[in-house]
Amino acid sequence: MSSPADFASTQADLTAVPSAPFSRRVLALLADLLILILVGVISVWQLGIRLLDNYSDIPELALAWVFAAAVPAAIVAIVVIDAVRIGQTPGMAAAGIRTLHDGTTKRVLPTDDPRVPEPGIPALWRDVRVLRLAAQLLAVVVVVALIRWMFHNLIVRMDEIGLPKGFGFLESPYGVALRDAHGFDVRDPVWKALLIGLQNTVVASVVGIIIATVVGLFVGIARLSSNWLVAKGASLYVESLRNIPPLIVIIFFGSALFTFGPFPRFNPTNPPWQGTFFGSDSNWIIVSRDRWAIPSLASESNVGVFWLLVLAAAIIAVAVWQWRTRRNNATGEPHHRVLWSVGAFTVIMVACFAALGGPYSWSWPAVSENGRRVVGGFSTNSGYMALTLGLGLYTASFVAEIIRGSILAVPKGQTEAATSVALKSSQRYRHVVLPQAQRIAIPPYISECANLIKNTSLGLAVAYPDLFLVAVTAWGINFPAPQIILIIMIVYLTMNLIVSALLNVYNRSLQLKER
Amino acid sequence: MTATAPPPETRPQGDPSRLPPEMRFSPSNWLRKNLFNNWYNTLITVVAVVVGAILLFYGGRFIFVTGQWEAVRKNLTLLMMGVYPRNEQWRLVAQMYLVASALGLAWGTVTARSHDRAEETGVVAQRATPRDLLRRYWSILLLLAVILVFTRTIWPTLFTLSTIAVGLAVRAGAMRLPPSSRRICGYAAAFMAIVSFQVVSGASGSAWWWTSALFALAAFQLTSARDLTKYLGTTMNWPIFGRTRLVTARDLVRLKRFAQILAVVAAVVVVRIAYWLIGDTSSVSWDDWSGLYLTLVASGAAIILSFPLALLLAVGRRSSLPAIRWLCVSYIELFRGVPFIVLLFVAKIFIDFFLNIDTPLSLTTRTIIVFTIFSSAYLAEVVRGGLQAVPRGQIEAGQAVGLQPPAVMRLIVLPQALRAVIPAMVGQFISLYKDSTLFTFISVVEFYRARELIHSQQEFTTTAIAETLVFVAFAYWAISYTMSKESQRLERHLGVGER
Repeated sequence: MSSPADFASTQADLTAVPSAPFSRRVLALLADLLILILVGVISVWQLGIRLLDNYSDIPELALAWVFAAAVPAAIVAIVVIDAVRIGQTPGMAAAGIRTLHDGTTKRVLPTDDPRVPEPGIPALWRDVRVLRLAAQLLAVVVVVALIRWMFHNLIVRMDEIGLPKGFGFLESPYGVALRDAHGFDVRDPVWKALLIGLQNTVVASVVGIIIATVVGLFVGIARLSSNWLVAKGASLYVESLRNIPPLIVIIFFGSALFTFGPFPRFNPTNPPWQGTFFGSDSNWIIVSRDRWAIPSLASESNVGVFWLLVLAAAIIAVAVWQWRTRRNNATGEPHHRVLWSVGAFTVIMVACFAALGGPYSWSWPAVSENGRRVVGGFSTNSGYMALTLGLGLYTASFVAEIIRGSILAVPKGQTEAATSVALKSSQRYRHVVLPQAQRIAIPPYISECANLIKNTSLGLAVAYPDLFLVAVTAWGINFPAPQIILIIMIVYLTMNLIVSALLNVYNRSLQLKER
Repeated sequence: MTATAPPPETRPQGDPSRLPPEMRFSPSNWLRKNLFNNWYNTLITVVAVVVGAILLFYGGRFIFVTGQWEAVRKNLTLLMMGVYPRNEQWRLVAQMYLVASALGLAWGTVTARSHDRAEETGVVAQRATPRDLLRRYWSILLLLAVILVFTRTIWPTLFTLSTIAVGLAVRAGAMRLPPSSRRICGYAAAFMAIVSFQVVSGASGSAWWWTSALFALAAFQLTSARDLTKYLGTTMNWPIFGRTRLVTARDLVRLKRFAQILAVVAAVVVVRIAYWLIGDTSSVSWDDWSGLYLTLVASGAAIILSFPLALLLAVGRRSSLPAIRWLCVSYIELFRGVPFIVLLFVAKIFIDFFLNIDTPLSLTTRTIIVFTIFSSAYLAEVVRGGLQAVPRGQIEAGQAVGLQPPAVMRLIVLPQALRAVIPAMVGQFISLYKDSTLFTFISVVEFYRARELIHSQQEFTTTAIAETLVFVAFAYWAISYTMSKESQRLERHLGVGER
């Protein structure tokens, strides 16, 4: 083993070598020419092959050319860039001439000592930039070739079977009725069916998320309760539900509870259970095995004007919020922002509602005269109930864990500090613990919501016509499956990306707050 | 005041009547503190007791009195092994013994090694008492008990108990083996597991060739282990050298050659004999795997197969090469953004369209392929979390001692990253296990689908719906619950988030 001093002397010897002689420079030039000619020949040859291959259309040929030309073009680009910027070419490297960092060229004697770094710019095949570019190009080429091969096989097979290509089938009639899709006719086009499926997916997701959030919030807080029985009950809920597949939870609601459960059937001889207000004819709920109904709002008149006024009221409420904030900043008096803005909004809304003569009225659900349908109100099928309840309660167990975990994750010192400045328990939670817990809880909560959205595709199990069931039905009646799968994949991906975009926006605002 | 009173300076001073009351544990104290500490808690307690009692009453009545468990009892075989040929069931029993031996071997070796390590560092290894084990595995033991209660003959019980006995015996044996043989034990366990699957899936055509090749390679590897040769050479006086003398290095080399040739030949012969024993098994293939068995095997296969892929994807996602990073990101986001059920239908309908092959892949194979692709995307995100948690200083330290980037990754980053995400990975495995229920939609007869088959029988079309559902849910719950408890234990054990 040699000492550092030896190492230094080796380097000194290397730099002492005189500038590159003329003969070497000629050699380098020849080597460069050889490389360029080789690259040129190979690329022309490759492009020729691509041209002679019988590609079916122009874009395919263009793609092939791009890939054939990419590697030579990259090599030429790097050679030219090196030559212009540093005055170093691969030929010079091959001839043993190196450009040093001060711009001078030196002839380098070969050395066997691996500890001596080669001075100056490395040869092309050792240049990290080249290697990086080559690795990436290779990866892209392999992946694109693989995808292209698979796509080609798909097209060939689709031709064999006789599946139509393209998206023209979206205009042809769907041919199957959708459960509870008012205004959808059997002769309506496929795209409309898919749109209704998407709408159902969104409705189920939103209601499921609401159920999951509310129940999860309660259960999560209950797990931290000082009441032993409540805490244990909440953990029983969480531990049992989150270890069961969501499909089974949904099937439980769908078949064990609704289809074969204790509720009355819905037919003339066997009327559903109807909950009425004391001394009135209006039902507030109708319960049966496959149809449930609750009151809803029915639009009367001036609905458009009313919603415009609602928008105006919301803007006013925001303005009031900001005014109270400024007031609080300026004078220090309590802002009561929520009270003020919600109050203003409510007052304006009520006034508008009365002034427009009631744009909405209650629509009460009732059993139709033949005793087979529900008239009025918001009525829904057991598939929807099973899906939203099942998914909501299943996801609630995860939400509960997130909430419990995030409250526990707030450092104990924070609680102690709040107690030491004599905050009440409620104030401590509101001003110290919850704001910090919320930051921890929101990202996993959003990803749970994304999971719930994806899980709505389980509507298939309870005949709820969500996007996925509509799609499955569509290729069941011989619409081309590849295109439909592509469409629903894109839709689900978009929904997922929207959710993750929300998450990213939130994370960014969080980071700003912390600094 | 007793004689054992604490010294005066540590006792609180002052009037005894003003000291805080002594808190001692007693049932009434506990009740008052945890259930009745103020009026609304008392109210909640009363409501909770009433609700709990009602639920307990109806639940208990359903389970012990009104439940028609005949549906489960009659179809237990269907639930457990689905449509696997009934006259080939001995294969599953054989696999049970083989897997139990493999697990026992691996478990014993790992325990012995950790005990040795603990001894080296001077820590007393805590042996798990039966009570600890009961507390850790009660749910899965309960599941086993419930399943055995539903059996109609004594044989399943005997097989299960003897399997457990075999596993424990092998474990006890493995713990007594010398440390030098531990590597062999690892190989042996892995190969026992592989052989067991050969037994169950049946061997046909070319399977015997590649199994022999695999075994020969493994045997060669085994005999090339330096420890083994040394062990053989130094502990025995081998008569093959002609006379008893001191063993030299040259002898060791000759011994090694000899052992290698012997091992390869033995491996091939053993595989041949094993195949002769297994017999011609065109009657079973892995498409016959079904029921709970398929659920467990498919989840296990997806976990094992997706792990290397996930590792590559996670490292690729953090690569400094933009093209590779974007390829990995698109793979991960594509398969994470789409419901698994959509991918399953891709597998069912047209995965064969993509591959230019003549004979279509079997549905089980296609399902496992898609399951692996799907789980690798999720697992990659988990691993990425671990990679991000490794401090930059660790990588820089690795570079400072002159390690190449792959070596930094392999020796420094990955061990720390994977250790940090073991609990999260177990969580991922749980959700994979739960996701396997979705196979039912593409008519793969896994556990849940087997339950649906029960209700396609005329006898149970509309009866015992809740009973079978509860049984299936309980089986899923018991296994997932054990996994989640184990992951929490691991988390505490590894001290994740504390260091």
